[in-house]
Amino acid sequence: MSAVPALKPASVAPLRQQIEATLGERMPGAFRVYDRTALEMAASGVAAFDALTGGLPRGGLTEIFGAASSGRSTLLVAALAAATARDETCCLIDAGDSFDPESAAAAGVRLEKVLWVRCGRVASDELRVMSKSRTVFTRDSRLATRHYTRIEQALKAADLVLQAGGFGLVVVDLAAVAVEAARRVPLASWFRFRRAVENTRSVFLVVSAAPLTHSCATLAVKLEQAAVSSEVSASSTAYVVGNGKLVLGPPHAQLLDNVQWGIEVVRAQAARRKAAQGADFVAHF
Amino acid sequence: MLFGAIYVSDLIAAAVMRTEPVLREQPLAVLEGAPPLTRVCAVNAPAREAGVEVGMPKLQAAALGGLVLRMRAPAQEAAATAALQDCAHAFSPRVEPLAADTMLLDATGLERMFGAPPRLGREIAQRAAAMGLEVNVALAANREAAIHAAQGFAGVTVILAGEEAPRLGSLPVELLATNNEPQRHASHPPAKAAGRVGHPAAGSGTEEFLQTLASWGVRNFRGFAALPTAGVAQRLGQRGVALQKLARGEGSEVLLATEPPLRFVEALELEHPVELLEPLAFLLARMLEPLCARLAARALAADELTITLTLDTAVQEEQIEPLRHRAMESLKTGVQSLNDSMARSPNFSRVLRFPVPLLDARVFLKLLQLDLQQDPPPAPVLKLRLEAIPARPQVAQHGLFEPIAPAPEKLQLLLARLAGIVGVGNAGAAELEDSHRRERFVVREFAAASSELRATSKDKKCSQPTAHSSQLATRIFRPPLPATVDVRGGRPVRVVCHDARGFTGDVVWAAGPWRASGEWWKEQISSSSFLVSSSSAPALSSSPSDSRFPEVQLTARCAEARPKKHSQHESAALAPPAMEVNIGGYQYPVVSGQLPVAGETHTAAAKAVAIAAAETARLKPRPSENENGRRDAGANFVSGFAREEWDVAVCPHKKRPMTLAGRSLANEPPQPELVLYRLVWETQSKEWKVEGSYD
Repeated sequence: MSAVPALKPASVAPLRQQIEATLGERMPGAFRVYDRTALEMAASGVAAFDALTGGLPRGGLTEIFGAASSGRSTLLVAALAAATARDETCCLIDAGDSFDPESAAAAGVRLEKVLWVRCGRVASDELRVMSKSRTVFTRDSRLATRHYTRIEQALKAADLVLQAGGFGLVVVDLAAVAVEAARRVPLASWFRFRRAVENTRSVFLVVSAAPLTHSCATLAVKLEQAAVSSEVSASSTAYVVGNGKLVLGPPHAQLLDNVQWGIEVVRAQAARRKAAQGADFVAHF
Repeated sequence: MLFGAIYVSDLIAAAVMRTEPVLREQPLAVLEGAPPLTRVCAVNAPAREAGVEVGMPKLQAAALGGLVLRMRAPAQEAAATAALQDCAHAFSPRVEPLAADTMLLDATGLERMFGAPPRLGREIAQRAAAMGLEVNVALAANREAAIHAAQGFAGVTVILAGEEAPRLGSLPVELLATNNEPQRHASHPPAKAAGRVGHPAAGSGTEEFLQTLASWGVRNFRGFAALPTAGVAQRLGQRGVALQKLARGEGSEVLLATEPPLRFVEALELEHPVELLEPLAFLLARMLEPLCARLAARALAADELTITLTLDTAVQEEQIEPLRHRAMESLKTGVQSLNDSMARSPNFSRVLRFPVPLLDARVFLKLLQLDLQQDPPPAPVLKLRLEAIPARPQVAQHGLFEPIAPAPEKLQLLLARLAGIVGVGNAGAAELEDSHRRERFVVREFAAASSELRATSKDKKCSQPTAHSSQLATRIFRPPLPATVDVRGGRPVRVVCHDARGFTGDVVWAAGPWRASGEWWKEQISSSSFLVSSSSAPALSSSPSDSRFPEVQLTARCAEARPKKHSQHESAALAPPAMEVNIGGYQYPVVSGQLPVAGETHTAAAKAVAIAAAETARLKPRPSENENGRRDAGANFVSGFAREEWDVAVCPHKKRPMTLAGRSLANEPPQPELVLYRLVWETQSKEWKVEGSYD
């Protein structure tokens, strides 16, 4: 078995020039150097998040994931509030049908600017999607129908929304669906979404319980709970730390006051990787 | 002055060819009359060359090979006439409809906009072609010359002033006689006029006139114009003199402009019923193109599109029944409007309403396709009718710095497609209702906000989230998850959720309860339903009447006894003076006095009641517990409220792996994980439910 001789740097450059000269005209795309331009960032509505990541990248796919009560919905609602405050039209594809308009409105979301797509509300046996265009106008023709699951509905809706364009923020909320089902979404789908949102001014946001988009994400952020506190009075604060130990419980009829969450950047563009990787933000009730 | 005349030769055949353009190249004969008296009433040019004549019986016409036969469709002819009129109005506001097939327009001054008269004529012909009509256009200095030229010469004809006589000289004299019958312009029944043009059955006076000219050897305008006027007057009378003037190219310069009501209707009658959506889409496309062209000719768009399908009359009653049902459902949901008569008739109607006026045949077609896919007609289709309600098109000046928003056409298509995926009514904009019910919102149709609806800077400032903290968001479980909750000391301590998404965990923190009654005052409830009792304290009750909250009455009763009203004095002696009452989700104590009126702002009323209550003692209902520590849903419980809400922090029980990558986790501290839930105790059904989570 003969060893491959190592090429010296001096001999590589002419070889490369020769290859480019030979194949450059036939395959120009293979040798073209693409300049990665810095993406425009949109404010997320959470100052700590913006300070850490620079905001939500326009024309990119942003993923926010975390366990329940990790602040993902709060961040989602804050992003919707910030986008609608900029008078942008938003779309929320709610795979789990768990969006709460009341709390969103309280957070400053202008609901009339948000197209809310509620997936999974129609039972599969009631939803009739006629097969292509070969539809006979008889009752029997309705047997030729297709049924979509929640996630299929969400993905198809996302395709349509991105295809239509014109939305400042498009959110696919998979946090309320089972992680196992969400993980079955092929990576090609996320890649297609990323390609669809490229060269647009839309922010494409995926909210989930676990990382789904992997290398397709322009920015991936993990959220986790830091502390939950309830203000008993002006002078004393009760904290419940995450290990389940009750430090001081709130009295009857005391509202949940402050929840603190941690943000960790899992994936970001190279320019942002050098930034601090963690921050906290606080939500009040 | 410049007059323009637009003429459609063989309007009856042209109306058929307008809806079936493929028939332009084929010999076509249009039939009318009931069998066995069915005869040809109109033919196109290829059929005429093939020897088909008007008035020929159907059997005789059918004997000619390759001839396409169609029945006469008055609706299509009316649509063709309307299209012709819209074509004329696209160039001039002053239009006189002379007949169903002839329009006269005032073309004076149009040179500035469209150029020289020949170019104007070509523009008119092109516009008519876009509407599916092949027309003759003539421009002349007087109206009669323009009309004769349009009816006599094919294509575009321009006659300059003073050249009328030599240009019109070659026209047959029959045109002069039949076109200027005394009663022709007095009233214009469109179908009748069209029939006369297609079948020039002249009156007896006209026949006599033509026979006289034929006996003189006069065949065309030139020959008739060359006759001495005195001799014509002596032999043909005043009508002959008037016709001779017209033959010489003289005419009037009067135009009687009329403005008929705008109706944009296209209809199509089918020879055979259509059963599939795909061919139906082709037919719809054929109708939508000229419809949009007509709207564009009037500088209008459509904000509503109605499609009416006449179904095969042989449809079975069992197929009609679902149609009725769907029609009534559509009425309920407000998505479409169908009246009862429609539901009972074999007509199937759908209405598409657009938030902004649209003018794009492809968008209309796609929307109709999606709508018919959602709700297809239950039987084959025999007739189609499309009607567009015109509206002024939305004119928007887009700026560089305007926020991005979807285009109206694309948004409509998107909403229709989304409805096909997630169901009608599941894609829209949420709108909060002024209510205290749970899930107090409705999903409205989404529309891109116009500039008038944009928030003012003051509103934006109010709605901006704060820079340093965010509003805690809630995630709702729809439907709420059933749960079993252990209660100890009046507080939940352990939650077991039975749903597939369920969990089991210890409550490490709880706040509540917040009692909510919903809009109980709008419901017909008995006087005892607003009742608070506890094991150690007498009961309190109030009696809500029609629309106002009555004065609170304090009632003493045993736990098992039925509520019995007492005077306020007696009750006050027995019961604590005040209690916590949640009216419509707000929590404030109730004292003896007038409660807030339903519909008023609750904030002020609540404040007033709260101030009054501050001086009084507060009743803390103490729900009892059974031996197992679970809440007893018996009589010793607050029964005047529909629900109690608790905010709890739950530490879920999870099976932790003992090892991770070969490393023992026995001594590792547990990972911090708390989930904040909203627990609800439904007092009516006596069930615990997990309504949502703070996320």
